[in-house]
Amino acid sequence: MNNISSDHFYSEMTKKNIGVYTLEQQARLRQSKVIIFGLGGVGGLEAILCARTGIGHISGVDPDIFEISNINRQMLATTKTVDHYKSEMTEAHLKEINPHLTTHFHSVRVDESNVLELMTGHDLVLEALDDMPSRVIVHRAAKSLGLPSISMSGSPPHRGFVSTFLPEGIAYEDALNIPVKGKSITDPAVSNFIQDLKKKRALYSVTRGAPKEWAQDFCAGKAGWIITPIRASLLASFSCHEAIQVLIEQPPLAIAPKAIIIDLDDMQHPVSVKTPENGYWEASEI
Amino acid sequence: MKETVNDIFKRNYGVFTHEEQQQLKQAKVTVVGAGGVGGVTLISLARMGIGTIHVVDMDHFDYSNLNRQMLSGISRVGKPKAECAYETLKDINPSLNIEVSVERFTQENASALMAGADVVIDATDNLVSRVIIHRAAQTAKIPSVWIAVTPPFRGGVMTFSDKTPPYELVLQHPSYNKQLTEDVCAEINAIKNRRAQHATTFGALPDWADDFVNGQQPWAVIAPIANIVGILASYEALKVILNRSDLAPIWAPQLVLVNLATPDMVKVVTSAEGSWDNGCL
Repeated sequence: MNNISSDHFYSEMTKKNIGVYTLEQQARLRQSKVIIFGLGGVGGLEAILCARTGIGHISGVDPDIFEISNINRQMLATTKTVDHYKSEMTEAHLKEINPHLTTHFHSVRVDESNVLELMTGHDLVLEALDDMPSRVIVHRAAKSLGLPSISMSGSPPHRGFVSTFLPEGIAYEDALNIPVKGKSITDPAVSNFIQDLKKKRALYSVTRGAPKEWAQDFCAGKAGWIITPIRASLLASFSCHEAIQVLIEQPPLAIAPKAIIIDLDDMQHPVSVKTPENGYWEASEI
Repeated sequence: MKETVNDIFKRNYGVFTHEEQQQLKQAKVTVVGAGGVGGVTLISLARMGIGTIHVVDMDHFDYSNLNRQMLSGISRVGKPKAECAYETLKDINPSLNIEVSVERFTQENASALMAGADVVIDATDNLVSRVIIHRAAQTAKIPSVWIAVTPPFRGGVMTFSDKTPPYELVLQHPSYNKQLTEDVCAEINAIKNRRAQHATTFGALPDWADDFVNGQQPWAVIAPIANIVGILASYEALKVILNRSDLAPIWAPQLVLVNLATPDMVKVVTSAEGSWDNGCL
């Protein structure tokens, strides 16, 4: 490692990308700067995939530490990283993939007061947050800064949603029919409305195969969101593919309101790009 | 209350029942290949809670693995992949039983490497080894999962068993019912060159395909495809083990086809003639 130059390392590391990407596209990825909000089951793997693909700069934002119950799906959660900050563990792992990568990792919660400062200076935003209010904050900020942002959502048993928001395209709240446009997330009426969406999603999931007792426990605050490695990893992989396409200026397939819809219980079309009938999705049903 | 190691799989409940989680703990999976597809498959199986995993890989990590192989890292370059898999999987679940074989899968060691397995995952890139794996698995009546990753954005997954047609008929191999002589092996290996050329019709770069056929370029694989295929392979293994009536594996010649460049990104397809040209997958 000590005796090879940064350029030589980069070309060895990305050798097997060539044939899919051209050398020019790969060089472009090396110049690209992405920021990932949320470093859990989806965001942690997105960080890894971005680093392995050869993206040159990666920032990450997550206030949490790893817990034992993260291990079932979070790529960087192990019995050794439990009790450590996700941001610190992710940053260290990315340097183990590409020591020449530049990084900025923050152990903070994203909110309306810090989002613009965190996001400024990047080319693309990957959103992998588990709470709706923060998701809205991130996609609003990306649009206001003129940045593309990739959104995702996952529900039990094996359903998922990935959609790419472009600055000139439909807004996140419009694409998901969330009627809080223009209002601050700190307004309690707004944050309560958005929080309630997740309860509605839990109850809707029952109609798609999730256990009723779990949904009731979730709504009562007694159970966490069900998530397995399968779904988290698929969401991260499809999100990353969309991100790379945007960065190398190839058309992504799921420009909002189009979305990549994952349902592994669908035995004919487990993953496909769909257009919502009314021009928007119901946030409670994704 | 502080979480304990018993809570590692807590968030699986609801997708798996407690009985099913126990079933996974009793299960054994042999994974041949701990590279781009095998690495993520192994990690996924460990995180689901499979109790015993046998990793078979003779290779060592190299810098060119970093672009997609989940078990690779710069401090692991030069180390055996199967031994690195052991380290990572033990950190995920300390009570996991892991068997490590740093060797090639051959006709001689096949039955020893598959002994006791409920399912075998073929994640090798050597086409002859793949024939050996699926022949041996079918003889031993152990379901075996097949995968493919093809540039630019394509892949495939399907599952064989003693009740499906054999691998070499489903993939139209010239080697069916033949001894694996040098000539037959050469015929099998030539399939990959045809696949490289065919991949250009889907957008793989023509220069890359020519260089691959001339032995000047390696097979091209990107991280999202290796991950998607690896995860889907682990899902096949999961379905075989759970054996739910409403969640069947994709039994060959049915095929899970991945192409991220088309709106039907992952679909299950059937073939009218009951087989697929492996050179076009």
